[in-house]
Amino acid sequence: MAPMKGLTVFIADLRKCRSQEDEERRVNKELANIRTKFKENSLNGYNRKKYVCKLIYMSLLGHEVNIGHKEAVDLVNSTKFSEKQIGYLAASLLIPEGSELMRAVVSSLRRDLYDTNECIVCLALCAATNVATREIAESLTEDVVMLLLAPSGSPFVKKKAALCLLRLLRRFPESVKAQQWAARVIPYMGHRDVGVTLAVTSLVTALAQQQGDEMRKASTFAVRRLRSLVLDGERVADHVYYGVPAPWLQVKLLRLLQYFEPGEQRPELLGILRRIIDESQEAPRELQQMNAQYAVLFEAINLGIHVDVDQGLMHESALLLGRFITSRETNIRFLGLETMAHLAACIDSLEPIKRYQGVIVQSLRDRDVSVRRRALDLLYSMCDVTSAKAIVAELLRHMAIADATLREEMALKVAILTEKFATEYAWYVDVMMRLVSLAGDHMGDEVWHRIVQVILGNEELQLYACRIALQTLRAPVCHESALKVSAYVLGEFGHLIANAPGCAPLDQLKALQARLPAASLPARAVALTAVAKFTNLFPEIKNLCLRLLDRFRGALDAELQQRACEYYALATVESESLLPTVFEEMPPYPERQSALMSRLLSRETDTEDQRTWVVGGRDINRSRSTRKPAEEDSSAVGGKQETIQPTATSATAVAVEAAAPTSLDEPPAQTPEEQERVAKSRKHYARLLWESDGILYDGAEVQVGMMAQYKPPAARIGLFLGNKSAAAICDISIQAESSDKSGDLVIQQATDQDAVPDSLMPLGQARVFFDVRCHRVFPTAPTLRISYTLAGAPTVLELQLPVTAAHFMDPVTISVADFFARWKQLGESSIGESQAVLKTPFLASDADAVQWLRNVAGGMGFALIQGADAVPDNIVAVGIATTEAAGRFGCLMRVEPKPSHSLTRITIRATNPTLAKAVATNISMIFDAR
Amino acid sequence: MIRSVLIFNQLGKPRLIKFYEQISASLQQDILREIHGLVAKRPDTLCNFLEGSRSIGGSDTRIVYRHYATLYFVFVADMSESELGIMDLIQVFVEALDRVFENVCELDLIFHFDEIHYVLSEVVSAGMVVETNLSEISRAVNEAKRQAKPDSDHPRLAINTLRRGFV
Repeated sequence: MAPMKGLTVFIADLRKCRSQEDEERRVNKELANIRTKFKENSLNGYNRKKYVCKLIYMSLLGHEVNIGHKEAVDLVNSTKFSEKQIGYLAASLLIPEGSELMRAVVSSLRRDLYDTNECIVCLALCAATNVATREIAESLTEDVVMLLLAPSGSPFVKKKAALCLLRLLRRFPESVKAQQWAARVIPYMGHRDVGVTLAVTSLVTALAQQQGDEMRKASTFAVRRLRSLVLDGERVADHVYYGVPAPWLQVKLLRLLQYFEPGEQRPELLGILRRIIDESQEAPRELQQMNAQYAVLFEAINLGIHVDVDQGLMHESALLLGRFITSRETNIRFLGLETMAHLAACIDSLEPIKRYQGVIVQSLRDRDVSVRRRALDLLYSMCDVTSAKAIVAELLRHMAIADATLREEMALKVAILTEKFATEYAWYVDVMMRLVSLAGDHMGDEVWHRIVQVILGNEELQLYACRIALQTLRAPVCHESALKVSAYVLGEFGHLIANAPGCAPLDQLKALQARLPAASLPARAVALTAVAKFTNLFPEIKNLCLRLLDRFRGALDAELQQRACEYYALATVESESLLPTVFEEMPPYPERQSALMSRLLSRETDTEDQRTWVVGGRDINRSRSTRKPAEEDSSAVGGKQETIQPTATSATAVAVEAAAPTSLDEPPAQTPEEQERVAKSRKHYARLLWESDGILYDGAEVQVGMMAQYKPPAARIGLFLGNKSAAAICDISIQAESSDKSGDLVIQQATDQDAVPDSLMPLGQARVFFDVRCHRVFPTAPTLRISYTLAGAPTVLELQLPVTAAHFMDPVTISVADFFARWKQLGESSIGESQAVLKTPFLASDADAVQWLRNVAGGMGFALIQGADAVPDNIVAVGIATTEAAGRFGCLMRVEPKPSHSLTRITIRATNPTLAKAVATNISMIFDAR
Repeated sequence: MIRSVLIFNQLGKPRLIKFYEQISASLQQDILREIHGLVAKRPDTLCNFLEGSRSIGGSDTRIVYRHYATLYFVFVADMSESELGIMDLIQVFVEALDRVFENVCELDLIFHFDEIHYVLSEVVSAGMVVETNLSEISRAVNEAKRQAKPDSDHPRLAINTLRRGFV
């Protein structure tokens, strides 16, 4: 640009301004001046250019400029190169994309693309790349493709055309019709000009992500070019950078190959990678050379991980990386850790990486926050069951000294790792409580929410959690989030420890109350809810609780006041059933994706290029790769059928003949996952034998929940089908049928409900109600058949529905004397007796097991008879089952737990033998599942 | 891809703002301020990479920067770029500016803010590397410069001049 005096003076003036206000004033003065000049029609090209330049400069400094659009278009249309140049620059920097004037710019672009002066063609290509509106994509793509493919064009034009296409392709993939020309650009990867090859490879990389397999041929070109650069020592004259031939091109080619499956090129690729890795064994002396050489090396390792992660080559790479993470160069440490995290995220055996665990932990203390971050990512990726305890402990230790920006992420990762790799309940609870105490200020609510969810979902955890909760409340310092967790846990499960010394209801209440004055409003609100739950849980301290609630009825904060008033009212209403119903124990949370994981993953934003891996363990990276669209299609062939029989291995199993899996392609081998699934589903089933709602089936794709309401001899069963997959499921059908044709049990879809939707979006839920009538006592539970299609693959789920004759039971209270009379009477006839001695190892380990047994008996619809048995732990209970046609059947039960032998004897006597057997079977399954 | 190229001085005064995606002018200024805040306090012995800032890209974005005298050269790139490659690219860009301005200093960039754009467009386009060969870059820039001269008599000769450069 020839110097323009007015512009130079203006810039100098602005530089002299001492304050922002001064500058503002000067700019406004100039803007006023420019406005008047633009109104004069006599403006010549030189002046127009000068004023537009001033506007560009103002906008660079951050001043709002919304004039000069028309003048920019005038400049674009000028015949003078310098004016056109400024015009296009202004068009891309000043004119908003939606402006009418953009159309005028596009029409001169069209003209300039065909100019005989190559400089102008390049100028137009640059402008088209920068502006890249939809109109350009729709109307100029063909012209740009031609410029790239024209045999006579100079490399100068070709490389810019390739990148212009890349930009248009990314912004408007649907407008550029890439499939028409994509295959034709691939051969230009072999162009002798390195600049053209580089640009075309960038374009092909973007196409490979969109067009998939159609671009496969590109990998042949990429491998060929790499071989010639790395192995054959191709001479690229001007593109040798500090001794490395065309490093940018090498990096680009190595990156492109990560988007393809290596296939038969694997051996050749491995040869190339080996050479690159071997040549880097000796550290280059000069910094610039090291940069270039290591740029290639790191990308080569990344490709190596993709091509053949478990080869010896990667073990060698791990050694090399181990050296890098102790390098004196901060950049190399950073990249070493990052690449090692990639390796850890994909490699099968973590051993070669674990060797450096000490060094990596040290890096958490690096003086550079960027390096510390990478170390955290790496520790997160390399964590497995064996190293979890050590890594989590290290992270917790660093949490206290970590900077605030890192602490939140650290907390999130600790929470996820602990949940994922916990093998002992105590460890999980300890770590999490420690975590909220340490980092509570730096993490979102989802962490403490998750802790509560996990505790609710795992019965085995609850007792220990209560103890720790109480301890936490009594500690000298108790963090906000720790207070919330503790309050919630005690409110739900405080009764579990109520008999232990120092943990009486009153002690629990006092501990909670002591925290209230210093707690924040949200924490106090949670605590109030816990107090309200205490009124239900511990009748003995109800009055104290009420007094506390009453005090908060006058709280200044609206939320607290409302809670206190409502809870107070609830607890004082004259109704026996209201309080227990409202404050019934929370059901376990349905297993969805953990909020923590979504939080962590949401931090990844959509960038223009797809990532080839994410930070995290192998499972997450594997599941990423299986989500590729190409593989979804291939999995669609042939349906699969899952048959879940919760009772399959139970000794006294109810004989269920599930439909033979005729269309099963593979034998029903018991893989570990399958075994786990069967065990899990047996657990779900057993739970529903004594609880009215809960999860029935929890698979990878769908979840089935159930809610039952019994009004013997009738019942209403609600089933909820939730879609857990990432895609919509369709062709849904939910059928339930009784296991035999006798008509003893009638089950049919309720008529007064909406039709089941045909398809479900991800996270969507469908529900369907069944009306059940028990005609006579029936021996076998009905079958539930759910079928759906996900991504073209039909799936049939066959489940046993936990509806048994024993479910149609109502509690009856009779006197002790009556009980023994009936017991004896039924015992003499001995037609309806069922007896079993069951293994109950939990009796010894769990002090509250007897209470649990009582809960089970109550949940099954029996009334407990107090004082009937000399041994206080023995349970004696009575229920009566109702059928529609055959009348009612009494049922007596005696449960004798023997903690010393870990055995429990159950005896059922009923007026109907089938019923007695059904009850015995159910109990044995419930015990089994615990 | 490279998402943005920024040049600013130690005080955070912008000398070049170039984005390769559609972002409003005010957000561009915010991003520049945020990145300046992150970069300026880092001593030179630390590494040249930073995780993306809040307003641009987050943890899936890398800020790669180099500090020359009074100026910071910052490239913001996504994860598909090699960090060291970008480091070298900044070096190439600066050397190209050095050739065009003969011993470049901050003042050159201030008074020739438009020319930086032209030089940059020879190095990076659409967020991708176009050319890394210094002589090729300066040849292209100088040719355009020659064309822009008011007394340029032979604009049509350009093609031949350029072609001569390629083997």
